[in-house]
Amino acid sequence: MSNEIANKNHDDPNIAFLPKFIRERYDVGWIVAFFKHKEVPVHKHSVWYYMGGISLFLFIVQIVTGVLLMVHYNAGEAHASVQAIMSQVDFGWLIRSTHSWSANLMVFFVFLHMFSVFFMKSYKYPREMTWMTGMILLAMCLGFGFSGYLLPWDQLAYFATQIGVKTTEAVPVMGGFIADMLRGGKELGTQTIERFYALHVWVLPALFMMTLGLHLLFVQLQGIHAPEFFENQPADKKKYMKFFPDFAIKDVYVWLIVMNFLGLLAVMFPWELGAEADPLAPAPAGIKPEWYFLAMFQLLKLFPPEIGPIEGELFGIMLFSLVGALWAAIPFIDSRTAPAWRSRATFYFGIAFLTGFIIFTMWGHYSK
Amino acid sequence: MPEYPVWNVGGVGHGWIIGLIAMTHVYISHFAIGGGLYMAVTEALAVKRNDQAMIGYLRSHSNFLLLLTTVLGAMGGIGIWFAVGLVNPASIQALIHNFMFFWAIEWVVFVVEIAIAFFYYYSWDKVSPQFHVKLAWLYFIISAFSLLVINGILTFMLTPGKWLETGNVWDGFFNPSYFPSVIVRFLIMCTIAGVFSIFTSSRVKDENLRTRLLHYSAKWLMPSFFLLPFFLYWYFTSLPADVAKLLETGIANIGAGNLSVLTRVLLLTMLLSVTIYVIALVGPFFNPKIFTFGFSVAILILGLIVTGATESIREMIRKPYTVYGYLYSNGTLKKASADSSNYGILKHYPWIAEKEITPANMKTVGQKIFLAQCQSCHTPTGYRSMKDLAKGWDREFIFRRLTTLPATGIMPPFMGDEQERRALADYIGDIVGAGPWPPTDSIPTTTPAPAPTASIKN
Repeated sequence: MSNEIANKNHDDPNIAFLPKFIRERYDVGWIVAFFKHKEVPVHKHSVWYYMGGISLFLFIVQIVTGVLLMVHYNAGEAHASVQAIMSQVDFGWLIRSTHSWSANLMVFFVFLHMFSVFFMKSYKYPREMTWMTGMILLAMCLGFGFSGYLLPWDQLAYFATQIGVKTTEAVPVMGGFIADMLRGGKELGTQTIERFYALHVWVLPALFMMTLGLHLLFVQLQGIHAPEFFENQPADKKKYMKFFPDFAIKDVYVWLIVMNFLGLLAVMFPWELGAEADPLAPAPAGIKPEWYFLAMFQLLKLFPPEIGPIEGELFGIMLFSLVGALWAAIPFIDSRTAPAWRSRATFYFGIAFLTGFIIFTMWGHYSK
Repeated sequence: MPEYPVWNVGGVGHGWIIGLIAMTHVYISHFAIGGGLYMAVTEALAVKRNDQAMIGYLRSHSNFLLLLTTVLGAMGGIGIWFAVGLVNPASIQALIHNFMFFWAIEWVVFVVEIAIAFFYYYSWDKVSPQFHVKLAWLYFIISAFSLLVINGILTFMLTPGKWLETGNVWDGFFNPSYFPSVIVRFLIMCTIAGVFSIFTSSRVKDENLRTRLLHYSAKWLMPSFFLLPFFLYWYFTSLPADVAKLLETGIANIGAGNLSVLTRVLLLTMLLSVTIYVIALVGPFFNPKIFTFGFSVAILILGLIVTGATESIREMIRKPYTVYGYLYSNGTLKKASADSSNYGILKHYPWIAEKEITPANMKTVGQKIFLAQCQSCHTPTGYRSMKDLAKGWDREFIFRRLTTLPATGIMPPFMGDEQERRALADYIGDIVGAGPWPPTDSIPTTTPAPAPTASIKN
């Protein structure tokens, strides 16, 4: 068997560049061949192909900085340990600042990635599962943001989390149970920090990486989708770029530029740490959740306390769930065989979703 | 000395107005000189090899160079002096007073430089190629000369050296950081010339020529990549001991050790510079075929940010002075500050109409004192705002704090008497929404307060 591999690989020109040690032992020619043949369509919207890569890069930054923070973070003395990271650990402020900024940028680029996929209609057959895994990844991304926000245990974190967890109480039947489980009791406290910490550094990352693996695998197996106008061109007009090394090098450029932008933000606007959370103090005036929850937050504020027989907050949650479910099910609504009107409706739904998201986020940002 | 009325800018503040003009100007003016060298060397090469494609590119690149440097570059240069003249007339006055003839030389050189630039541009094909190359060299030499002159004045501000004792203009001009600074700037110029030519090369249609040009232009970044660390080190050793200490520990009172804004900006410049070199190496140098216009724009922007960051470091380490050890950044002479609490702001600022402080005019005078003494660096609610910096302080604390400003290591002493201090404290107290003054008899007037722990904001 081993001789077989050795002989076979000896003649494979694809892997001639690899050291003999690897060539003799592993049959990797097919992997190299796969990447050699992989191509990326070149057209006027190609720039959007970088969004997924940027999100991935920022996730890698999150892992690296997150692990470094874990070394010094202590859930038992959350605030004090973050304070020590900010003031005593060499470059601790930079690591924490980078982690926080990169988290925000990651959510931002994941959104960009999602909307570009949506408007290029890349979710259609045969890529439904790529879209669905993407949705799961997005949900987990927001989960990372929510669970990580509490960990420094300052005033803002405390009260923002308070509001967030309270919202889940509106869920019928299970609400109280979910909220208690998140909090580890009736009140936010050390128990909550430990639960959120476990979620943030172990449960979510494990699930995230598995889902991400699937998501990336799907993209590799199906290749990169090209929009309709590109596909409809005559074959000689279609331009492709080699994935390796051309697109990969460009990806690295973009990552470098994003890294610098991230460095600029982290260095010029270090992430602040407020005073330690004091559950007995009044909530800071005008407290708001992070920007990516602002739209939902603002929308919830609009509902009256009671809508017919149900609570306003519950109504809001139902509405979000419905829109979220619709959004996740897009590939099945606007499928390959769907009539044209559904495709149009999907497009307008996307426009409405995006516009609504932007308007409500801005509104939430500027409202007192 | 402070006999000029003030120009009041809220929001971003004066520093940023000058800073934004200066960033762009330094970037472009360095390109004007580095680009001159690039043109001379490259054209000489192209003529020697009779490389018509390359000459064609140089012709369009010279169009870009001419437009950018004579329009934006010149406007920026004038803009800086104009803005500084409005913001801090005392510092310009001190510089002109000292360097009158250098100033005159600089302007003559500048006019000649522009004239040659035009002559060079309009004489393509009209003179022999060899003569045209000579013109390029002449342009480079003249523009480099303008740097040699202005560099003396710029470095003088940070390291006046023996001038402080002798008052001799040559001592001020060839000051301790003159030579290291000149070399550092020349190296940076080559880099910037490379960055700009990568930018114009990436627009070239012919793929063969484009790859050749990109590969060639990337080489212009390499000398400074290897040499700059050493010359920067030389430059830093030429700075005053206090400045070196400032760089090591960061600006005093800003958080623990590594949190200072200076250290942060320094980190940023390193990160950005290395990225520019890596992109230039991986892209234009090794893989010019896939390098596109978009990336060249990105490098150009990164380059602008690095220039801005390094220039702002150079400005920041001079704090609290405009001319180190001689003139404070708010236009007060150091020698006048020896007796700061008896100096009297109302007495020395003719444009403040009120000559006495009464309960009725206290607020107005407080604001005018702020304009006179603080606004060259601070704004009430914008950049480096009192609203943030004095957040949570009461009037009494602000009042006492005004006596200990030099202890921060980055602020000049407050030049007012007790009444004036009180008026200013009242004004700042209003900005931060502090409560009323405590009963007068309870205010101890002279005990200096302990330095407060400042936040990590700049």
